[in-house]
Amino acid sequence: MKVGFQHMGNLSITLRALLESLGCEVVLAPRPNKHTATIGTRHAPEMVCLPFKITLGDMFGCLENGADTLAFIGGGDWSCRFGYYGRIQCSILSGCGFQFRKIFVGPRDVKSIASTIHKLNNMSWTMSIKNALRGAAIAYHKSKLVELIETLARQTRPIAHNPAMVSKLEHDFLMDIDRSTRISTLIALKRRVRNAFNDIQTGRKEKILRIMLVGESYCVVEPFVNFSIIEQLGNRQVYVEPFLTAHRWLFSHLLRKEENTYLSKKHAQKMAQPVWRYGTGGEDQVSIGHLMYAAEHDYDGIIHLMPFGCMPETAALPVFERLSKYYHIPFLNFSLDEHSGPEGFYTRIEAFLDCLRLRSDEHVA
Amino acid sequence: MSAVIGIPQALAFYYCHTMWRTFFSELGCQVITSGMTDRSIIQNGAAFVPNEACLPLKCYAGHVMKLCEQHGTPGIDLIFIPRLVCMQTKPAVKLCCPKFIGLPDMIRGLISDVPMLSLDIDLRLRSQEVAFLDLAGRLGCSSHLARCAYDAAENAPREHSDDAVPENAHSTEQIRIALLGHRYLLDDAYLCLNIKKRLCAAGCQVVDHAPDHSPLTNISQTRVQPTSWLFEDEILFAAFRYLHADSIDGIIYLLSFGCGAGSITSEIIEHELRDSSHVPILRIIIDEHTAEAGFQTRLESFIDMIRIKKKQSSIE
Repeated sequence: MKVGFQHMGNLSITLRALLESLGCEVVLAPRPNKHTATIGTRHAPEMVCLPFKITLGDMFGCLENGADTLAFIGGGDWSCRFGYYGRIQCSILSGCGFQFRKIFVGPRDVKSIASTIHKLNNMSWTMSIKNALRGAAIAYHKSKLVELIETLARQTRPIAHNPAMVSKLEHDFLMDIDRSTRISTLIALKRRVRNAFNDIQTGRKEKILRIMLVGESYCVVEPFVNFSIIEQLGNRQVYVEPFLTAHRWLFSHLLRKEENTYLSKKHAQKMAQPVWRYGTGGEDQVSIGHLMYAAEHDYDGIIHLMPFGCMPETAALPVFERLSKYYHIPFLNFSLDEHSGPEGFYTRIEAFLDCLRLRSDEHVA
Repeated sequence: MSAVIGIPQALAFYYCHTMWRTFFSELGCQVITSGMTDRSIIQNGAAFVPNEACLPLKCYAGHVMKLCEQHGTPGIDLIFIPRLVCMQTKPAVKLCCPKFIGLPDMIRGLISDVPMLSLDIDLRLRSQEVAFLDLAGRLGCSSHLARCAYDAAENAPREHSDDAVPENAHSTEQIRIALLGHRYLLDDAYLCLNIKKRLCAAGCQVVDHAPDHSPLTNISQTRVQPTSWLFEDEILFAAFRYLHADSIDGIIYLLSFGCGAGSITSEIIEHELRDSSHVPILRIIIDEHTAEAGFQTRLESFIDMIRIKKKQSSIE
């Protein structure tokens, strides 16, 4: 069985490890690029949100590379369009003449997933359970290591003398993780990662701006959609803290496992409740919680990314704006679609950064 | 209790207004609605609401602002802005679109100092009755009065428009056009640019789907895979009925620009519900810039095409 699924940041490293342990072959599209966006946009409904279009493009890429099974996230009750991605994408792909098996991954589909795993392991439950546990363990280790590398990279980049070096290091280590198949190698790799990042020459004198990145999960996590904002701003001595990463999305948002982060999902929701009572789908409530956290912890500004026409984020936008006024924290909103380009994006961000620098100078003076 | 309560005449108003009206007047409150939508309401709303939000939401903000202007003696005391989260739990959980779920928070973010009377309806947490009794308690009414008012509201007759698909399928003269869309779009004459009147003037008979929430179980169980949106399901079921009824010559699906659910439902209608049906569908997306002339032209050309099609099939 050749399984394909969508990309979202470095999520593919984790999911590939899991699926390969279960006995599947993983066939993926190349990381999202212009071609992905073009093909996705051509076949998707016009008014649908950007993540739908890009992930649809990913699915086309998987099928072209020879995948015969596609995994979609599905099931559950959603008030946002995210819950319908699998259903609509399936009908579009079959309408284009592709033939494939579909797996829906969601709380309602546990039974069918279990039976698929069972079949893959020569109808032996012992093997299935053994492989599933091993797969889960290695996937979790990989995910945590990816998270560590991403964190170290984004913390080191703004203060490093040579930011390009950091990006190279990050890229190389991610490749290493993707290649390794044993937990022991991962543990050894972890030590190497820490040492390598410690050895990077740091100590730039300029003041570093700290920005919290909030908004819709896909836009925050996927570097193709947000024009690698974390890396690009890191090169300009700006520290960007995303409210969500692929690791946190997978474990605390999908699997509801609470992680020891500076602000847990539950806590963020609790903070946001007085101003935005319900989470409606696109991580709006958690985003609002993070905005409040950032305002109370001396961040210099907030950047809010959402796909054009995103249902929850559009509804929550007035609340974001009201809060930014209340807390006196600068707020910049981007609504991204397939026509957004890096030039306009970074022009606006640079102007925003200039304002932030002037503002922090005034505070000092 | 003699508070004057203002209800914005937009969004969920068109689904539940009899119930709300009856409830408040039984409690002894005076109910004032913000009246029909007009140009200034849309303009005021659009100036405040994020520009990619959907048209009905801009309209809602405009209505709230109109009511706010009347706030203070001897005007309106409170403005009723409900939060509709989950309106049905059986047979499946049905949610509302995010704008309904965040409505009070959003209005608070947009307009400062709204004298708001809010109500959370989330049937997963508490029944509608408990929610309304709690609301009455906040208005200072006795629990007995509240219970009576709720019973009256619950049993208040719901309005029905003539939704039944006409029986005689072979009258070749008149064209029958079915309208699809949210109630808050189709029932608001200004927002939908008076589409019903225009179609009637062009000599068509207009069929409109029912505003009540009665699930069309016999259809839903067989063919239509439901969504988790309550108001959208209504449109899907109606669409299925119209697509497979002989007496319908054409369907017009009215959408507002930026309606998130609309992009999903129109895809479901085209891909899943159509099957072998040949009923033509015209999808019109409207926003606050939609001009009457272009709208009229599209309607006329759609009707002309149906006429030609009908003539051809009658010759054959």
